[in-house]
Amino acid sequence: MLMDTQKMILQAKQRAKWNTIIILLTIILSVTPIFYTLSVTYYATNDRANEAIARTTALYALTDPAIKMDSTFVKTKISPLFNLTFEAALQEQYAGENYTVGSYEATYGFMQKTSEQIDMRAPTPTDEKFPKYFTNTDFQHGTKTIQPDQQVTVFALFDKNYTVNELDIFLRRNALVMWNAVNTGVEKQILTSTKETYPLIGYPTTGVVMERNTESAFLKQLELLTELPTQPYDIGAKKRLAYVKKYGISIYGATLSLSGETLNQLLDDHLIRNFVILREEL
Amino acid sequence: MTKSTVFFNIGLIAVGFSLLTLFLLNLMLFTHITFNGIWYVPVLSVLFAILALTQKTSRKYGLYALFLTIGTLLLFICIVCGLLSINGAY
Repeated sequence: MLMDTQKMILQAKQRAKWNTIIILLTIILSVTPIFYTLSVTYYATNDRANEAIARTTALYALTDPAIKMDSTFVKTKISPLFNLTFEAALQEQYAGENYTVGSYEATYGFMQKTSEQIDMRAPTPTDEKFPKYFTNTDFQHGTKTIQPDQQVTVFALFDKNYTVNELDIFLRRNALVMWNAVNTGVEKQILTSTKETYPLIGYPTTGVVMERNTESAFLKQLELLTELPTQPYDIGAKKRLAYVKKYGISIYGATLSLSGETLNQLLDDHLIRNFVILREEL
Repeated sequence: MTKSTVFFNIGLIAVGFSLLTLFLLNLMLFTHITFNGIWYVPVLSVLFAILALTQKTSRKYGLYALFLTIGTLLLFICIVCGLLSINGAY
């Protein structure tokens, strides 16, 4: 009888030990999946993650005159601690083809950007920044350092504003127009200031990011940035969109891929006022 | 070995498989790798759990294993559905 009682107590103790182990293991192993599920739900709800990615892609297309973010190849990671990391390839066009020239990575915590990194595969004349700001001091007037047969990509300011159709004048002179800078009413202030104010905005003319019609894509992307004006950067989207809607799209500058000789001719003919070298081919 | 001991062990095995299912979900989340050949782990867990439910001595473990496996699978489905709706996440 005593032996049976002792055996039962031993068995009960053993079961209690097993129960404790099982419950502890369940708690430990449940923490990550539960937090991960909550984190994924948070970013999936109201399309939060997709909108953050779309806004960043739109901002890149609007503000960078040479480099585009490839929105079709984005890698997104979500951590159980409510962090969202997304990586996208940065592309640049050369001789009509898109080449991946680097990558962009941003991390968000509860939709607030906590870090951002741009890795370029090859060195560029200036550090790749996002968004890109231009000031009065960035522009140069002469082509002393550029050889006539050297191929360069420049961001040039025109002598006057053009409509999209009038840009053929540059094509006829063997200058490939890659990105159009749109007049949004604040450019005079940006280009006469020596301090960074707002980034210039425009749209790529080839390898379109969102749609075939580049002008409507430009307006859509600008509209997207007016919804949350300070996310991820404040570019004064609302007032600039209102200006474009009121006065239409006029182009005061563009990213041109051309030879040193053509650049000289354009300067001599007063088609362009000044320029910034974005890429030099050796 | 008595019948009740056998079923008690079956109950423990069911719980073991359900915990393994949960562990594999953790592993997937940490490594971002989808393991395709492990579908039999939750299946075995459910089978052992159903077996354990038939006897009073192991019923508690059977229920626990069943609850844990179904819960893990529901979490997995929620995560996959959420990730599928996010650009480039899955």
